[in-house]
Amino acid sequence: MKIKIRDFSENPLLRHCDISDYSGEEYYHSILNEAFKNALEKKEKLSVDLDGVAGYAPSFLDEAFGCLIYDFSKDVVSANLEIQSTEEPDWIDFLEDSFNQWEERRRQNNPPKVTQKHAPWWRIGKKGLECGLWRECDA
Amino acid sequence: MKKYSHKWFLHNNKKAKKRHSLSKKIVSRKKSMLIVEAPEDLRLLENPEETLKFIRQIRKEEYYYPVMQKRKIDVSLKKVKEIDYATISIIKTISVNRKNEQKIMSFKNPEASAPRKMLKNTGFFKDMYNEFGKKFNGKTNGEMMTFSKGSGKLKSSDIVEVSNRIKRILSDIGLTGCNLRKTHSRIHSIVLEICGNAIEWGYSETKNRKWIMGIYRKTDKTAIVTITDIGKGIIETLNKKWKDKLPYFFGVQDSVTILNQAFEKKYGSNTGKINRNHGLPAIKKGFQDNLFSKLYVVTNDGFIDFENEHNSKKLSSASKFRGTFYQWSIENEN
Repeated sequence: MKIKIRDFSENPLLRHCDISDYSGEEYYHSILNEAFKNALEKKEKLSVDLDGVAGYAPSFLDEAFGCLIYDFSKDVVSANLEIQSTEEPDWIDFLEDSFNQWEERRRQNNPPKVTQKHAPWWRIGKKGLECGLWRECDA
Repeated sequence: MKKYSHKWFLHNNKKAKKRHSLSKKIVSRKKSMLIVEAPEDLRLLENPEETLKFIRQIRKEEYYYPVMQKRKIDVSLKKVKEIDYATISIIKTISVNRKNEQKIMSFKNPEASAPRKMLKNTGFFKDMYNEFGKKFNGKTNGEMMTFSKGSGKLKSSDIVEVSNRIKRILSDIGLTGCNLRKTHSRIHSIVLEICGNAIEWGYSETKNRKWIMGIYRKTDKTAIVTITDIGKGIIETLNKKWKDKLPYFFGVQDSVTILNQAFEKKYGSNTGKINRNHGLPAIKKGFQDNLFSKLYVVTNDGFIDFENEHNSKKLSSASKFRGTFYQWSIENEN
């Protein structure tokens, strides 16, 4: 399965919905979470293409992929996700570093901020995939 | 014909006299002490001590005098023979922020033609008025884009506009294809990160403060990018946050070392979020990847020249710069 961030926006912006349009938080809740769950169900790898956008704020990528680690764990994400970029491969190294920090955050139960109400989303629980509103909106 | 009473005449005459004496006072104060004179060599990168002393002066409250419920400062650039884009960017940022505080900065143009032309070409006078109250017009080789801290939600359209302006200058110096895309993408990321920090930080004491990004086509093949924020400055901010945690380090290290470490991402984010503070390393990475050259950073008492490290220095206390200034060049080598 392959998705491209440019199909979400050619101008992805900042971390949270309350400070910017096309945020990492929005991308996670509107596209990435569902796409990753579908790939897991189909036992396929999800490939995310970073190319074709004007540029990234590190905070956009950090939030979008960090939420994925928080809800599915680093082990599950690393085994089932492939990030591609020929234009800016540095972002792949950046995300590897970010994954470790988010896994630590997951262990410490320090959840990501939710700044807008989202539809229920998927995560890996004790019984496998589960859908729900896992975090309260802070706004 | 209307008749005026003796009382009316006395009352109005008194008011007129008062007004007259007040304006006389202002003029004389203005003549005697309120004009801030810039030095001949107003180049931050070549003559930092003297230039920064002048910059400190034009920020001092004592040089502003009251005019029509506002405060004004008269700055004379008359004697200036040399000026650089770095200084122009900082003066512009101060002026934009002062305007926000109902303070007017009035500038007397340099007599020498080179600095006068430079000021005009960089877009320094854009949105400013001349002594006759007319707005400055004309084509420029540069863009000075203002961003507000605490300005709420960042809209896609705002960034698209900034992005297009940056792209126009990069195209003007002849960058095309992969070079154009890579350089543009890196600057775009830096702008986004700084915007993000500005918006998130903007809800505290920095609310409504403006920072400026400038991009200027210096020659047919060279563009200069500057980012100026007249807030606290990196070293003071790091000091405040880390002094208690690393008292030994902050006690013995000089500003240049601390700044270098900040560019290596040695300090965590100020908001406590992970992976913040990438703006600085991203700038340095652009330099290391040869997308940018001639990288300078001036903040508090630190002056760093990344290309010629021996030029980096600790500034004297009379020349400390409250804020952060970055400059780098983009050269089309084809």
